[in-house]
Amino acid sequence: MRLFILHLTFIHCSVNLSVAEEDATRPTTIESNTAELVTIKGGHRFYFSGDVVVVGTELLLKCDELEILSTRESNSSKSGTKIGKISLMVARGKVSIKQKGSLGRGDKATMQADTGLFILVGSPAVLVDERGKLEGNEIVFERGKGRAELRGGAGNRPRVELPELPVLPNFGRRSKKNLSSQEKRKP
Amino acid sequence: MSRIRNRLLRTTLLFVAIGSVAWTNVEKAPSEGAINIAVPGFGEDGLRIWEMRASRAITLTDGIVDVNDLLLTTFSGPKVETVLKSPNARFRTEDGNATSDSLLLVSGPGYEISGKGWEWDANRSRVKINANVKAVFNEEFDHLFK
Repeated sequence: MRLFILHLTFIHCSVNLSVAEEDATRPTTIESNTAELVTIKGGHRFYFSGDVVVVGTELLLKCDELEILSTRESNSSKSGTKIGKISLMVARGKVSIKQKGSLGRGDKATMQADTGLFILVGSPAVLVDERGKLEGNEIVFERGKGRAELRGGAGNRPRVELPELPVLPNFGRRSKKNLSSQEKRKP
Repeated sequence: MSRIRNRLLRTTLLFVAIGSVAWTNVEKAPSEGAINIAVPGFGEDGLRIWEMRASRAITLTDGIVDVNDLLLTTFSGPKVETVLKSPNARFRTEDGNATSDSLLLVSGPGYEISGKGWEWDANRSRVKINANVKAVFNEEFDHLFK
C-alpha cells in the first residue's frame, strides 16, 4: 500500500514536471549577417539583415531582412521588473516558413501580436500542408481561429488545391441493377 | 523636440564626462591612461539613467578616447534596462559615437544579442552590429498557420 502511494506521488510529480516544462517559454534564436538595435519610446526596434535564420519551437524561418518591434511591459510579479514583448515581426525578401508540417513561401510575412494576424504576401504567396495548397497574392491567418483568407490580385485569381478526394462508390454512375430496372419500366 | 534636445544634452554630457575623466587621469599617468573608471549620467529628475565602466580609458587626439572592458548600463527608473559589454571600444566624443572591431554582447528586456564589430550612435540611440549576429528572444512564435 505504501509503495502504491509512493508510486502515485511519483507519477503526480512527474506529470507536474512535464506540464511545467510544456508551459515554460522556449527561446527563439535569430542569426543574421548584420543587425541594428534602436531604442525607441516604450521599447526597442531590431533590424536583422543578410541570410536571416529564425529557429524556434517547431519553426524555421528564412528571409533576407527581419524587423522586430519589442515593447516594454510591466511584469505582474512583485519585482515589478519590465519585460520585453514582441508586438510586431516583419520578414522581407525570399521568405520561407516551416512549421509543424506546413510550408509557407512569399515576399513578405507580417505577424501582429495584438490582432493575432499572420499575413503572408507574395507573387504568389504559397502555403502547402497536408490539407492542400493555397496560392494567391495574400494569405491571412487568424491565429487560434483555424481560419485562413486567401486573396488574389489583379489578373491573378486565388487558387486552392485540395488533396485527392476518396473514391465514392457509384458516385455519378448508375449501377447495372438500377439501369436494367429503369429500362424495364420504359413503355 | 525637447526630448531630442534632452537626449543630445545627456549624450554630450556622457562624452564630456568620459573625456574629462580620461584626460585628468592621462595627465597623472600618461602611459596608462585612466584605470577603472566609472562615469554615471543623470536625468533631469536627478535619477541615474546610464553608467559607463571601463578598466582603462586612454585619451588620444581630437576627443578620441579608447576604452577597455567596456560595460555600459542604461536604466529605466531604478531598474536596469540594457547592458552593453565589449572588450574594446573607441569613443569619438565630438561626433557622439563609438566604434569597435571587438565582440559585443547586449542584454535587454527579454532578449540578448551578440556579434562582432559594432557602432554606437548615441544621438540616434542606435547600435549596429557588423557581423556574426546571434539574438535570443525569450518568446515563442507558435501556431502561425493555425
